[in-house]
Amino acid sequence: MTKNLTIYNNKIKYRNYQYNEQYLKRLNKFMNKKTKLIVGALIIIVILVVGYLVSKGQSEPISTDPIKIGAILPLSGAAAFWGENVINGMNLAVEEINNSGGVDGRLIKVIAEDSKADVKEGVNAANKLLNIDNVFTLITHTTAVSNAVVPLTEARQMPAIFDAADSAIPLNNKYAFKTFYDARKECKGLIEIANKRGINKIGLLLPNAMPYAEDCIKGANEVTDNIVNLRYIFRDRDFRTVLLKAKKENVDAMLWIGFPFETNDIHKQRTELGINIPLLCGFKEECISDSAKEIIPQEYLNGMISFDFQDISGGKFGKKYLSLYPETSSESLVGAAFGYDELMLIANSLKGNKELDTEKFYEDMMKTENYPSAMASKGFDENRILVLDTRLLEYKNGDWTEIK
Amino acid sequence: MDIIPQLVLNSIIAGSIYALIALGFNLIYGATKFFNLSHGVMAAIGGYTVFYFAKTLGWNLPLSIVVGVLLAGLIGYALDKLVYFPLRKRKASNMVLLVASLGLFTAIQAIIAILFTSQFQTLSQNISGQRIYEILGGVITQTQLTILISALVITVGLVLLLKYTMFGKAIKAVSDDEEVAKIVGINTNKIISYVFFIGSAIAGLGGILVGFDTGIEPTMGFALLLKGVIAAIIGGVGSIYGALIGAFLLGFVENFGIWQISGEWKDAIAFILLILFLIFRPRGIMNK
Repeated sequence: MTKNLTIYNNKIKYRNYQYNEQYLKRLNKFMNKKTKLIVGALIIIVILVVGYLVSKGQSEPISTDPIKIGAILPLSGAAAFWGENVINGMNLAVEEINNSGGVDGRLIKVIAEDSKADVKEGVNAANKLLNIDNVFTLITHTTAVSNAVVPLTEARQMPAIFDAADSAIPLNNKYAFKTFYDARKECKGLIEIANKRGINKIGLLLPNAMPYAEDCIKGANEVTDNIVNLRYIFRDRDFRTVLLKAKKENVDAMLWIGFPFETNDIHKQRTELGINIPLLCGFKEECISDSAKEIIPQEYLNGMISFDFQDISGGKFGKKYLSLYPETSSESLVGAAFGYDELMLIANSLKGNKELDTEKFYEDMMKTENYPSAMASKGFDENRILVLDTRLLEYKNGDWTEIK
Repeated sequence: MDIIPQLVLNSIIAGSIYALIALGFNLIYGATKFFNLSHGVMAAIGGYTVFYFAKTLGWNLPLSIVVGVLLAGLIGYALDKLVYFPLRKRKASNMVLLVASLGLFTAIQAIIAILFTSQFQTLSQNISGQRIYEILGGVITQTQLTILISALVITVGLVLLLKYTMFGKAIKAVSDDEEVAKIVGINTNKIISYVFFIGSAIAGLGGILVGFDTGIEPTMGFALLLKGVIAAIIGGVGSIYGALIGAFLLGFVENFGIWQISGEWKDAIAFILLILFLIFRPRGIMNK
């Protein structure tokens, strides 16, 4: 200022402008009366307008900013057949939601991470999705990974979906919602139907270190104590000695829940050893895979009992998915349907929740009943377990028939 | 089918599979003195080569098996030339070689998964088309018998090779002392590369036979390597007879162990056996 403003000979020189004192007095007088009022009014108007715009910007989300949903899936490794179909189902749901304008104008974006069905990988994926991608909610598949990830979402009080066979997940964690079947309930149901048919001594052919196996054992123990331990190491492919044990113990049937890659080995080795003890098992395709039908003699497959979901291949989602992926097996179709339903549940529960308030989201998840469900589900029960319709099937002469 | 003879046969079948991995592993260890972890993935290479040529391209099965064995051997040879030889030349420690082999194992396994997906595949045909033999009340399939015979024939073949051929004597010389072998005029790098070829080809055959018995998956090499290395250590690292004896001992202890206690203890039994050997006989059964 001192550099530009100098006073000499009663004149003020500011930069290159010169004013005399009289002129300045007149100018000040004028400012005091009218201009100050106008300037003041303008300042007030500007403050009001800016304030309004700022407050408007804070209360309404930017419509182009998508809602990020994290998905932890087995996209490679032994369970990749499941994860690949789940992500396809999710993508179909995202396409339908976003094509119809998104959720209250906001698009949905799924960020998928590969867990390889491995607990450590799953936790790493969850940390990335929660801390770097800042996802709004998480969907986690496979029971073991779900058990490892649930403490992270609980710590944040984040409502999240776990596609797992372990009902303890929602029972022990307030913000956890569970989809998929319930191993405890289904194993109990399988043994009950077996007992009614005079099948009393049950061998539990279950892998170690798998939460669904522990849950299944709990369900079995609720019905009977006439059980034989036939447990094996998960991913071991040599079942010969365990099957031999089943024969020695004279078990009437073996209760087995596992992965389709195990089923061929089990059937092949029991056929080679001539041990024709039927299996009580999970999905019909886990029980007898397509390739098992080709390589195993019929008499070794008859009498298998499976619990499965209702056939969804004829429904709207099933038809659409099968037209896009015609080679899909019925179990893989179920995986795709779960992926689709989980996205639809979240999108439906977010309607009217422009602030993305987690408490409101939680409440709406509990209330969601009518949503476009591929599995024909009507939402969660009071324990946050998805209500699903299952059925019991028996394999006879090359085909599955429903047990009434 | 009688229970105990079948249990014995189960142990022999498991032991034969472990032996097919342990034999090549010990041969390579003998010449190089490092734990070549990439050995496990050679089994997967063999299995997937047969799967690709026989099942995808529809080639004749015996020809596909020959291609599978040769390709596993060639990849083992190439890994030595491209990775291990330059590292040895730079006087890299055994730890560096081990880490490099682990890296190669992981990378090749990932490539197989990308090329063929992670799905389990089977090489076998309809089970009723397979012959089943009854031996002393137990049953054994044609494939399992082939695994057993292969393990025995390869053991005898390797022993004869090492004992009666110039090439075998050169391998033994390199195994005993590589520097002295160089002084007496043996091209040790060439010998080591050939050893990699033979050892990897044996692992490739192992992978193919396991593929016929159960099936193949990109990660199959790890489980095979783990049991193969345990068998090699308890039998005596670097010893051909040791690999066979260690493999059968492991097969018997595992199967009789889970016969008495739960099957979920199988790996624990194998590692307890390993630890006992490491404490009481660290050089294994055959090495004094």
